[in-house]
Amino acid sequence: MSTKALWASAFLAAAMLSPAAAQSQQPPVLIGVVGDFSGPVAPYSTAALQGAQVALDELNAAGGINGQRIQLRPYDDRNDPVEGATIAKRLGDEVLSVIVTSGSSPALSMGPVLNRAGLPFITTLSSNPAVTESGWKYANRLHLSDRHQIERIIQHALDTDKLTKIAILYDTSDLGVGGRNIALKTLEKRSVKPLVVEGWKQTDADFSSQLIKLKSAGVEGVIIWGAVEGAVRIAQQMRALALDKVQIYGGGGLVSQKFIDLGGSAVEGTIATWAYLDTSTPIVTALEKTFESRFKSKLDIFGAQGYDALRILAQAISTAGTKPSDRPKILEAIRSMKYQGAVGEITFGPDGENIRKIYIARLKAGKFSVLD
Amino acid sequence: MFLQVILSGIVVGGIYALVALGFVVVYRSVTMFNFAQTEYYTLGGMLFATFLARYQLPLVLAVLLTMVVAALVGILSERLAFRRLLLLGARPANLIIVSLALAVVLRSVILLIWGTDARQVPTLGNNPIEIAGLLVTPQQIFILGSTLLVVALLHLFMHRTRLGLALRATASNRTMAGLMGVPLTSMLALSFALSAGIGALGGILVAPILLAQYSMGQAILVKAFAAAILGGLSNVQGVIVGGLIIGLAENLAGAYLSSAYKDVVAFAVLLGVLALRPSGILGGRTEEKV
Repeated sequence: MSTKALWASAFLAAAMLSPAAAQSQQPPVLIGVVGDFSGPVAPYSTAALQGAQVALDELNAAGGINGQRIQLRPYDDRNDPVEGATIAKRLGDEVLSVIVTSGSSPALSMGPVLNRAGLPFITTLSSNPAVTESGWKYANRLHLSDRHQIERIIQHALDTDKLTKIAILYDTSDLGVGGRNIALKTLEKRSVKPLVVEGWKQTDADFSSQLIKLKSAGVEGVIIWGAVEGAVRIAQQMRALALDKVQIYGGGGLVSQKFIDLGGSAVEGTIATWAYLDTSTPIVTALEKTFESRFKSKLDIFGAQGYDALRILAQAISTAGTKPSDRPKILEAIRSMKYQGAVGEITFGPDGENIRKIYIARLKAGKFSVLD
Repeated sequence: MFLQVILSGIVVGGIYALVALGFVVVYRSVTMFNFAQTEYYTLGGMLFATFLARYQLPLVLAVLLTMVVAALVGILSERLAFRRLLLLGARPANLIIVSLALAVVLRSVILLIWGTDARQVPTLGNNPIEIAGLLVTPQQIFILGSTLLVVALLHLFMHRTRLGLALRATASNRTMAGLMGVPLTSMLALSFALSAGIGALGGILVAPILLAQYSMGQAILVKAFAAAILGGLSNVQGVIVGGLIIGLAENLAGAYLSSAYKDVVAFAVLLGVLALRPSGILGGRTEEKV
């Protein structure tokens, strides 16, 4: 870590000492927050850190963990997997437990290191299935995994929309290929054979050969798994081939203003999984008020997941203990708790995957709204 | 299905041809490759998107303004990057390296100005019309029409006007043309302005279907280059043949094999054609009487 980054985290850590904590005599319980605070996914990581800060103040005001105050220690990985692994090596000595708010690449490079150190951690941004499927005992995810999203969207297409003629289009990135493999397995379990399975490179601009296949196969629905730009081009070119009756299905990445702005009328009707934040519950209303007055930015799902992640860790630590040797018990406590948080009711499966309802959204009149 | 594949291959080929035309214009006048050519195309797409969305300019004005700005950038790149090398008769390898460097500079500037986000550009029409069972959109017709028109106009310009003659003379023998009273520096500026303007027009035409984004030039570079080479470089109409071959080859491969083979087949065709006709399909003599 550079001197500058050291100073930045020291400053951040100092800024987060709550007034109540200063009076406490016992050493604080240290929780690390690793994320991208200055790179491409900084908005998401920062939102999660801010959510965690709100939770921190609430917890410390309520007496911390059995009288011991909690302290957050942020680490900036700039979304760089190498930096992430370097940070992860130090965390075992520096903090009791970790919240990982980074994107998938650093989350995956940190995973094995944190696991070897026996540090219970919760990721709040990565959707890559590998986070919970690589056999890392100490990994927990508080976000939607691509596997669950694809299983859910396929279930919606087959059961709710009653479609049988399905195509899969994926971009040839890790995300797209991973998604294709999950989609193929899921469809196979349901004994549905996809009529077209075609890839595209992220630089590709012309999709006519893929789309003509869709047309001649008489496809009713297409699952598009990849970057937003590709999905938009596909939707626009589908229109040029009079394929606008074909239902487009996608993942949470499509539920964004960018997709709506770029796609215009061509993406109207798109159905996608959504990491939806229900703002009508009392817990979210209260969090929204504190969050937005303190940080002057809108509370989103990532802020809420950061908030929940720290509360889950605090609850687990309060039952398990605050010594490094208590870490296995902390993990056990995370896996056995039933937590009612901002993002709804959450439990963690034996693999560390959070089990919660995945919403389906539909784009109508330029706005995504919950369909199911 | 077959005819629809052919049609989409023709449209894609038309785009390649238009971008390839920029390569040919510069090659025809200064016998060098300008690898920054596709950055003028990117610039065209980005400027057009900005003029339409940010400044709400009428369509025709936005098109003209975009082409003029791109042409000025073309003139500027000739003046700053190439002129001294060209007048001193630098080795072709040096010119190629300089053009690659120029491409990186232009791309970085575009990235600094517009960022990485893609931009949406309104189309002239994306709702397909059915003609004899084939689906074609007004935007696609517009692309093909513009390509043919530009190729025709450029051919007439090169062969029917004194300026065109002067350009060809410059390409043929720079020293001799200079001695015969051709104003060399103006010729160099003119050819870069033309190629950049045509490149920008390519960007304007495709941005509505493909979105305007900083990386659009990189994505088309190799294909357009292949189309120019296949067409024979020395021949303006050749780019149509080259563009069509590449566009059709990749679309047929994508439709009947798999989209994973699109590039493989397109470039296999390029290698095959060059093995049989090393100077391209319509490329003939390198010496000509002007």
